[in-house]
Amino acid sequence: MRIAVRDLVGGDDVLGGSENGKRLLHRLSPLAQGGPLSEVLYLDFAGIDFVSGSFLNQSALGLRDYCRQREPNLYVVVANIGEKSVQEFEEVLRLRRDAAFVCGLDETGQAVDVKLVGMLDDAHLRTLDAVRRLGETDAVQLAKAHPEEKLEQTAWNNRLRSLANRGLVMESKRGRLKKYAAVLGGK
Amino acid sequence: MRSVTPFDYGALDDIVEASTLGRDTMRDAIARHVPRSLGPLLEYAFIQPLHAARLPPVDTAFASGPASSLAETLATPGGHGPNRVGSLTSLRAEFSRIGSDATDADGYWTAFIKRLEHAALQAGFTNLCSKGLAGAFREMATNAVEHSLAPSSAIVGYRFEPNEFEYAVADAGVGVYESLRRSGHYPRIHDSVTALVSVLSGGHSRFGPATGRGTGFTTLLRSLTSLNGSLRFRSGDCAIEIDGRSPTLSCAQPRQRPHFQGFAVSITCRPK
Repeated sequence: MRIAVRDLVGGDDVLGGSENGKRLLHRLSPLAQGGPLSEVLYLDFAGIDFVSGSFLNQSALGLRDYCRQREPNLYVVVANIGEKSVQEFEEVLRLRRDAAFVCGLDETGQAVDVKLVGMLDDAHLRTLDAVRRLGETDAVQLAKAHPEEKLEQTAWNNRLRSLANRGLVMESKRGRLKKYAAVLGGK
Repeated sequence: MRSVTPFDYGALDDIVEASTLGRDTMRDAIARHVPRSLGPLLEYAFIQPLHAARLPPVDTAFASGPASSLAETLATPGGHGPNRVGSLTSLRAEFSRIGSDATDADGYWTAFIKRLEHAALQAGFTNLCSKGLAGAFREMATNAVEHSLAPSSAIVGYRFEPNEFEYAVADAGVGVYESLRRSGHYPRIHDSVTALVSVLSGGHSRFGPATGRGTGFTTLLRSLTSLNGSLRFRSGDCAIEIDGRSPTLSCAQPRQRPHFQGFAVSITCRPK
């Protein structure tokens, strides 16, 4: 799923201010309607020359948090923001001790140049890397694959849930089991 | 022939300081100055009411187009509805009451920001730089709406000439220290200097730390990377000035000044 921000901001190409970000969030929320399967919602900033950290904090991260609560099958990824805007996003994420994927989109709508920005502690970073390497996985498999972490299944589940709340891994149910896959950059 | 000097921040501070000390020779001193940039003029207009016994209103103090235009804008009620514009053909500048995207039904505020961006281009900045400067301006203007508790008091302005671009935002709201004090999140902040330094360092606002809020000033400083900039932040009894190429907070010079009710910021930058 892809939402073009430019279509929602009256053609403006410089976006800034918390209140303006909140206003965009109010327009985005009704458009974020997920289906039965987990999928990525690309918030596409193509055509926007600059977007400030304040604006991204309220709009992109606001939408991410909204989806976690109301549309748990949707995982928001910021796409097509320029380098200066990435720096803005990085600062906001670091202040929140948070992390997110950013990427470009090719002509087919596929993610390219995927980057992880913000702040992720070593334990969660290792967990994310493990999920990316394994493809779809679960807490039981991770515990077996990484005995050096000396973690029980519950602790792995906690890390995975924390990553899912940040929109970095997708959660899906296979019967009673919860499976996880990287939102971007995985196998 | 009487000598004329630019009305800069040095002149502003001297005049206001003298008024605070009770000196009555201000009118002659002011008359020798000509406004060239917007920041000192805007700051004078906001501080003058506190010194009305000794300092004349801005259009009386400075017999010039910019001052008359600012006085006209000051006389315009703020808030919703159409905003009047003071245009300065000689300085290529513009003042306005602050607008809001929320109430911008006629597109006035969006058009104002577009003109500001275009002014930066005409001053010689690249397209990318101009977008960054416009984005930072949006942050400063939004701050006045979100934090001052007196958004209708706010005035913005920009000015350009070859190789120089300036914008300024001022409000007569609660000021930075009071904003943080009322939030209850910063019990160790007891004065305007530490309040200003905190918000300029990023991540601090009345919403508290670690919320991702309070990043407007760091956006502003990033917009000046690789540019030569002169910045002044004014609130309470503090003024912080930063000068230089790619200005950062480490170059900041806090100074104690007579009380300023509200907040004012001006940025002057040059592409080289």
